[in-house]
Amino acid sequence: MMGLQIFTNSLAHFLAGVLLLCAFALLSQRRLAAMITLVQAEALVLSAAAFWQGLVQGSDGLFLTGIITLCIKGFLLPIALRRITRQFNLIRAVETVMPVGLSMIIGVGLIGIAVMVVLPGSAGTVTLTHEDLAIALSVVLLGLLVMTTRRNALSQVIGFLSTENGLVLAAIGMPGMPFVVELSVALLVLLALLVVGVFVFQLREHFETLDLSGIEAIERRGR
Amino acid sequence: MVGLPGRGMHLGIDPLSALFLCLLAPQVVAAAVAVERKSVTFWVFVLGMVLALVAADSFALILGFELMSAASWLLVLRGDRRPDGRPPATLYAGVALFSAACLIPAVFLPAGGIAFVLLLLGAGAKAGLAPLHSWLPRAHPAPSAGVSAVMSGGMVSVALYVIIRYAFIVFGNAAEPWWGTVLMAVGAASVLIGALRCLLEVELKTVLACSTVEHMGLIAVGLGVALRARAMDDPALASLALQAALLCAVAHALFKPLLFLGAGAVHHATGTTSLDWLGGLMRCMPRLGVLMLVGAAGMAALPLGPGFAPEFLLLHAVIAAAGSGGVMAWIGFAALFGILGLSAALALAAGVRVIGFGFLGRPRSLHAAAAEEADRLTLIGMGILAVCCVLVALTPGLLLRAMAPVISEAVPGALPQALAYAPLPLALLMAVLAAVAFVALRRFGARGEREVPAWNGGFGKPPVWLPFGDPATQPIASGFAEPVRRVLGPALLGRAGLDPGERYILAPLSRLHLRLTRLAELVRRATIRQRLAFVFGALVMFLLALGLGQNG
Amino acid sequence: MVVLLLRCFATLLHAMLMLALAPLLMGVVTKIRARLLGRRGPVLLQPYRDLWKLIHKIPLIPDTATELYKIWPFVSFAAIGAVALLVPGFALNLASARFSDFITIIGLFAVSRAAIMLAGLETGFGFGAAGAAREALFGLFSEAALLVVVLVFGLISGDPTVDGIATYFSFGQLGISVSLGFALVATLAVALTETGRIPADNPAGHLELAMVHEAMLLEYSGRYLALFQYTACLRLMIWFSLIATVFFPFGMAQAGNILSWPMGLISWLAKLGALAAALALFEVSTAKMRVFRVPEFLGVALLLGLLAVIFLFVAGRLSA
Repeated sequence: MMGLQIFTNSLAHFLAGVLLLCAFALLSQRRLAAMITLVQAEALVLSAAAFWQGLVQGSDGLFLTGIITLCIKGFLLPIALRRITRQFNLIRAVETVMPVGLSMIIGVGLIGIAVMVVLPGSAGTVTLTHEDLAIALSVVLLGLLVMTTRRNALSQVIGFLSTENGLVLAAIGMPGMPFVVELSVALLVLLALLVVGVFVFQLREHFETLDLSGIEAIERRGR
Repeated sequence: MVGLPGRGMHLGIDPLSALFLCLLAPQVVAAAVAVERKSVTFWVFVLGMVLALVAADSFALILGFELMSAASWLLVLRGDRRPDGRPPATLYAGVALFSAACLIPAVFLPAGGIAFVLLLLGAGAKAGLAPLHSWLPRAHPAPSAGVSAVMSGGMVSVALYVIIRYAFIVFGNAAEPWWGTVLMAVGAASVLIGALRCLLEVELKTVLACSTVEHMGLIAVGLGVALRARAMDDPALASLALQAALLCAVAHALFKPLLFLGAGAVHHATGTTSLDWLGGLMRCMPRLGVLMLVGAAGMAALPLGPGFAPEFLLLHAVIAAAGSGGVMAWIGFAALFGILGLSAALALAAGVRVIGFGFLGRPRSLHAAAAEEADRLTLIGMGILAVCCVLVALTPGLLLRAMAPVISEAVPGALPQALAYAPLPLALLMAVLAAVAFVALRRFGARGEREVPAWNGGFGKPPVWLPFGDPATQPIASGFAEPVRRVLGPALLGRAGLDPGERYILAPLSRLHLRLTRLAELVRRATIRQRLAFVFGALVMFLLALGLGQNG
Repeated sequence: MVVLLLRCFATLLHAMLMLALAPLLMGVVTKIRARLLGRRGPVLLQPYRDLWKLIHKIPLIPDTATELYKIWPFVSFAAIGAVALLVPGFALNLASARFSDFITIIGLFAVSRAAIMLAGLETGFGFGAAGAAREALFGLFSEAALLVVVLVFGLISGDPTVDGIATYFSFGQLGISVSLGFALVATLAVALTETGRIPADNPAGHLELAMVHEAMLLEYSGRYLALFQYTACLRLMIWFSLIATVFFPFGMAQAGNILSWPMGLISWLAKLGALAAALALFEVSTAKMRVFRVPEFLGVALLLGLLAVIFLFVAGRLSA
């Protein structure tokens, strides 16, 4: 029984680690196509983690989460994103604000901060949930970092998706998280994507580019 | 005897000073044999170092240290032959004064944090630890080869001796863990910047001086780990790290003078030490080349060279130290490990560059093509050091056993550890493998070989009037370092490619100097009326102060 | 006594197998890769034939080379050959186990790299020097990343030797650890670079300007080239064995127990085959990187090593 427990935990743990690896690799990628693939991989891993937790905890809600993640973030959104990139011929373009190496070092620093935040000082017991929580928080922070270090609107969407994956990871790791929260989060993402999609199309029509630095320049001039 | 009034001067030898005396001996002998027999200043310099080492009271130590500084300043001044015309001697004198100004209060203060920081500033500046290292690559190459050799191998060792003597023995019982952390941080910065500049510099002697900065950093990291462990009551770890640091000091004091003497011989033979103008020296100076190969293997910390055993011990000490402390300590030690790995690879590339561009390939100038073998005395001097290098490289275990009293002097309750790296079996194994390959290739392969023009991707033979091919088609040493400069330069050296030590310390100082000069000039040029006004103003201020003081 | 004898015998067997099978492994990788690309590919024994052909040719020595030209192949081979004896293959606890310190092994890799770089600089022509410069650049990050990974191993197992680490991993109750996963990815990146495989270098490339490892050997021919090529095969073998031993230590034999050898041999060969297939698959699915992208690739490996240390701290707090 104990061995089974260890195996259960370590598989969940392993999946969380792969998710973090994907999030970290996202930071190192310059090309949109590769970033989309990585986000897709994240979603697949996340759904696998959700199924596994559903199996272990015996909760149907987690299965549903897994299915939603798989369908929407595993297939629907990447296909949509790929179509957008192809349509706008963006397959190669991701301009970064700062050098990739620097953003990766900052990423490591953020993960260190996440670990420090989640682990309570020297006293107190630490459970496996804490490590999972540290990973989830790291994924969220890395997603936010991707959003801040990329100029392209689409890569900001990708960063947002990664952030959301981290949130869902935290949610499925905690037994007793209400399913409604997850569902609402998933719907929120869908909504946000629709808004951004419309925004992107509008942007494209007006400025012939998806580079947000142009808009920043206009804003500055307006002030 | 000279000394403090009423007390006299105390001299004495304990294991630590004996170790450093032993470490000083081969290089002084080699330098004396090679070049510096007749120079009085050189012997005064040596005397200063010996006095600093055998001193048993602080006064004698400072006296020796300053004698060493003053004599070496004279030597730098005399050999001042920089092509860019900027005098390193002035800079050197400034650093020596600064170092004295920090060191003298440090040794007379009661043991504590302030004394340690002053000690580190004073002796660290002399040893070339970052951020006060940028004088070293300028001043050490300036004098003649023998003096450079003893400065780079001996003088920095004396500075290290002062650090060890005070931080471990005199202040030892007041040590706190942050002392070690500071020393490690300083060491890591020196290691990184020294190794990087070692790869980027073009002048052979400057390359060697930068390598000195790197090795001083390695020793400082070892001392830092040891000091931290000592303050945290972990004698096993402290002795491991101290072994690493001392062994590194010994190895460095052997191969660095060797390389400097070799650089001097190269300068003598070709008139230049710029790696961009050398090349192919292995053909005309085969003996010097082989001796330099031994030194470069030490500089690059390759196994079977003298530099590997200390590096090995240091890495193990850092692994052992990494398990202690909180998450910041873990991350810090992991980063330190990464820095050590990066610098080891940089040092390897730098060693390869010295040999590959100085001694292999085609000559890049007529002087390099027409070089003659170094004279016998130089070769003998270098030979002494090379033999010591090989001995240290093959039997580091014996050396560590001989060092045990030093370790137990510096770390009470030390547990000297056996070395897990065994160079002799390894050397034997590699020799057997090479012999097997050689025999097999002779037995089964075709005999004989043919000498032809190089293939060079099919570009063909150079014209006859260019005996070594077109020099313009040759790779140069700065080109070899260019990829590394492109990748690491912007992050570590900034956009201008300047050493941070120069940018943030020397440049502001020189600006301050300029401003003070202007101020002085202003005072000097003042008219009589202005001077009168100045005196008058001073008088009024004085009276005002007097009046206010009496009333209030 | 018998155990000691058996251990020596196992070491001998290990050495013979490593040295004999190295070209075969290269042949297997090439074959699988060709098959994946829809070609038939050379026969498995082709590397042996190439080596045989090369040692029967008279070497052409460039006239600008120095006396050391003929030494470098032997230095490079001796260092890598020594590593081959130190890294465990089919069995743990070989007679050489005590010397298999990870840092010594990294140092021996560095010796081999230095010898190859000097061989590239030997004739003083552009291609060799360009290759050496690139090798120096890649070496910076791969050595740093590998050392950080070694730090992870040392912190987990408390034993610096490869043998001890593998023993600890095969018997310890570790489960699947996140930090080991990160360490594995970092090690794979380093291994790909060190063996000159595709994202960093192309072993089948024939354009001088784009080559790294081959560019340094451009001026070598005959038996010297054969020795360098054999060393390259051996290096691949070593890296495969190293990864198999440290990360997948199941099924390994004990050198002192002869009954466990057949199983150990079978599992070792199976692991080598699986890694060869994985390498071939990876190579056909990616393209070679630009030279200045490789440091980033290895930089990721370095940072993953750091992440592994951070999560190791978390895991340490778990068990404490």
